[in-house]
Amino acid sequence: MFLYLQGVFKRRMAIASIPFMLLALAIFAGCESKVAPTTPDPVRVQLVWKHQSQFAGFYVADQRGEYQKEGLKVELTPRSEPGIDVFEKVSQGEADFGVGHGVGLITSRDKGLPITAFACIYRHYALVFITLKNSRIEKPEDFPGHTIRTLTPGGSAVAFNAMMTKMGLDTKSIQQVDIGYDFQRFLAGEVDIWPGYVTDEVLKARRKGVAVNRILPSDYGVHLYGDTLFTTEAIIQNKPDLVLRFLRASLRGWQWAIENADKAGPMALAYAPELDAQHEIDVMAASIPLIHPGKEPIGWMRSEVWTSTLQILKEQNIIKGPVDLDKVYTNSFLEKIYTKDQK
Amino acid sequence: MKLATRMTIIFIVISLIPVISVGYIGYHNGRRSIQKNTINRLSSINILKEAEFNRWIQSNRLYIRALAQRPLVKRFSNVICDEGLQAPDQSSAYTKLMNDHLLPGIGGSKGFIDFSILRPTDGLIVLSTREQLEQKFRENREFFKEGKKDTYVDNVYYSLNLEAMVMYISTPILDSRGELIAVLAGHVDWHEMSKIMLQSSGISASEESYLVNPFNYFVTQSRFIPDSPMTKTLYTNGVETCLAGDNGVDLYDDYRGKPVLGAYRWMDQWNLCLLTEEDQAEAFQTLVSFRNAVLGVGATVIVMVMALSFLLARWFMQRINRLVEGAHQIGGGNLGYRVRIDHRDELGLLGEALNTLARERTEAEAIINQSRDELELRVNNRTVELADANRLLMDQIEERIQTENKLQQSLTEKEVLLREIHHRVKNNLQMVQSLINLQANKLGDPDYISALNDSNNRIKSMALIHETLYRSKDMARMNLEGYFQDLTRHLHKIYKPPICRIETNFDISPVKMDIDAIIACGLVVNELATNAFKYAFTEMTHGMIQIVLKHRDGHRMAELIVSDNGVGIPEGIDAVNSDTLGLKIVAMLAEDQLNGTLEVLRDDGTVFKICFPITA
Repeated sequence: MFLYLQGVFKRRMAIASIPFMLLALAIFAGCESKVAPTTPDPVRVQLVWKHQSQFAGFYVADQRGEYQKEGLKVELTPRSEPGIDVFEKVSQGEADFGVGHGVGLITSRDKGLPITAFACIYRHYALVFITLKNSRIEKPEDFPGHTIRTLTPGGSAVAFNAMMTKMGLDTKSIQQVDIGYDFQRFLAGEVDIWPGYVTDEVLKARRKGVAVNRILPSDYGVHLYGDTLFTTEAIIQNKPDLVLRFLRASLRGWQWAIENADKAGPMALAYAPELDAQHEIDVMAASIPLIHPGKEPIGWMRSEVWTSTLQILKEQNIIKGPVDLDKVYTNSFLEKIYTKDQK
Repeated sequence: MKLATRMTIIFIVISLIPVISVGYIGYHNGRRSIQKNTINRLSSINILKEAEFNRWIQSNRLYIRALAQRPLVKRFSNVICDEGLQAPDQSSAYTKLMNDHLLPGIGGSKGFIDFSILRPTDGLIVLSTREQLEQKFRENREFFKEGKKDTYVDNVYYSLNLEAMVMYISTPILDSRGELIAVLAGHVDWHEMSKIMLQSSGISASEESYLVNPFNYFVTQSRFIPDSPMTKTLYTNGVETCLAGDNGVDLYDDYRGKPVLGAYRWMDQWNLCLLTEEDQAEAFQTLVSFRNAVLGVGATVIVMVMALSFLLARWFMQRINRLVEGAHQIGGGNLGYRVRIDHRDELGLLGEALNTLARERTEAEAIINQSRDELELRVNNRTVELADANRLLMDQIEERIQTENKLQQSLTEKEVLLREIHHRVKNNLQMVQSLINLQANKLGDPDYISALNDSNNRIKSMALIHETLYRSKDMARMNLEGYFQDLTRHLHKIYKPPICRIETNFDISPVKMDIDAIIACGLVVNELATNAFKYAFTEMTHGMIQIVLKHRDGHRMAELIVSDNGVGIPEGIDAVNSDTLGLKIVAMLAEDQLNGTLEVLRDDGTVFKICFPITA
């Protein structure tokens, strides 16, 4: 009797779901004809930094076979040293896709590199200025007269300068101190302001039980994109299907990573065994709001952020010529994926 | 299968049908009614929750609007947002705005966590009840951009600053001329929303309400997954259908994989999906009790039916077994056996019928026995008679066999005797020949010698017959061809012309003749062949003599032909009535001995045809 009734309901549901199933089948069949080549297409991806859970979504897609499902064989290359320009690597054809910051993307386009972003993974730039809680340095106005760890040109320096400019503050009295990247030295008080990441040093301080202030550039009108997926105009032009498949698989990877931070974080250890699994889990968990703030789907880009970035770079005379925003980024692949394949 | 088992099964099946029917209908109706009630309740909860959600937002909306319309709030906001003014003036306005208007609206029964005054030109937070927000910019936030125009309720999102889900309600602060002074933004306590959602109606333990955003993320706390907002997605049937913009109810598996009854409601205004679910296990709990009761009653009924049917079957089986035993006994020949009859029902009648059968069979068997005895006696008598006749017959047969043997023996003896006679006749004839030869050797006249030799040959022709006969296996059948061959070979040896090669041909059919006819034929052939050898081929180098014996006119007549291709009998000589001794003998033998006719043809040699009847 039980079974019978359940059967009736299941049947009813099954009948109701037939049109959806047919639609899904049609979409799937449509994709399938394009995405199931017999031998996987090799794809090289240049990461913006060494292997760590910052790239968890790609690891998930790689290890859970999402790339394979799309007929891709993906090779993830870390940025072995800071001197390497990931945008050049991609534009020179040494990699098919790259992961790089929004700032770098626009400056590279200004330099004439034919590259275009097609999805943004970290839609909040993770850069944060960290000060010790008891230092009383709580906002940019408090910065003058204090020391700051050396800023990276084209990176943290852009955000810093933009923020200070926006607040109308003079940076002359802020002395840059080159103490390397040992966060311990900041905790020991060797420098007042530490340009770091919400996904890294903030967690480290929290784990050590040290209370810190976090000064986010976005609170002061500086909106920049963090890790952004880009490729060359030629690939977008000639192999749109490859971009679509790679992006679709990567987004599935990121989706899974967000939902399973505790499993996705340690996946980085497969590429860099020296990493600390717990730290990678924490990093992944802390990254979730940066990746998915809740208003738009993963990867989605807003023109105002790109406009703002462009504006900041112009103000700082980092870029010279005019840059066409339409060529800087495109949401067209995301549109295709999200209208067809919500998951 | 035994009848008792079969009966038990049938009774069980019959008794189960009403139990199952009643149980099924009861269960079906119960489930339907429970499902309907639960769904109604869940739908009601959804409606109430949505109303609560709206009421909560509406009251906060109204509160912040009212706050923005206070003249003092307008005045102080104008002061603190005026970039041209000096700090001391602003400080006073700041303190009064903060202490008299904004801080009292926070916490307690109010839904706000903090208020901020944003400068309309650049989105700078010039004042915030949460100190850490001050001097930060919100120029790109929807609540600022929209809040400049009208009261605006922002969608819930994750705040990086607060590391929590946040929702802002903003409203413009306008001066008396309607010019924008500032934007007042209130941060509503989203935990309050989670609490509203987590509040249970108390009717069900597994009931749960929650909100899901269009990206399938929880936006309020789930009862079963800690820290679920914005970290956990869910793709249940309810959520998927709801996010497609539908309201409804369904049975499906929830995000824990548990089957639930769920009601979902798409809140288009807030871009959120509201779901209220209850575990099916709990919803249908009462049905489980009902099912157990039905199973219990069913089990009891089955046990009772089994016991009753067993007893009934045993009673029937005892009676049937008595009948079976009776049938076996009576069928096996125990005709004195009688079935015990307790009841005069159908089985009792069957017993009586068996007993009657036994009785009638006893009588019938008596009659049969009597007839059988009589028949046996008759058969015995007849058997004796037949045995006697048989014995007589056997004696006769024996006698006949003996007679036959004697006859056979006698025949064999006679045959031996006959052979012996033929042998002696031949010997005697040879003796005669020898005597004639002796006589001839004494004679000097060749004519005499020739005449004696001719006579000798005639005797030889007869002796050969006897020799051939006693040598042949069958005395009744003589090998005529062999005989004629031997005869001509003998004559050829004596009379062979010196220069002529003579060939003899035979065409002898097995004509059956008596010994006299054979002797006559032998003598005829002897005479004619001698004649031919002597005279037919005198001037020839090659000659042929042919002897033919064959049947004529069926088997009644025979024809003997002796021909040669020699010079022939000279013209003028009557071969039939010749004075020559040889031809005379031939004519005499043909007509007197054989009772036949002689015909002589002169056609390329000489042909003698003798046609005679066969008597043998």
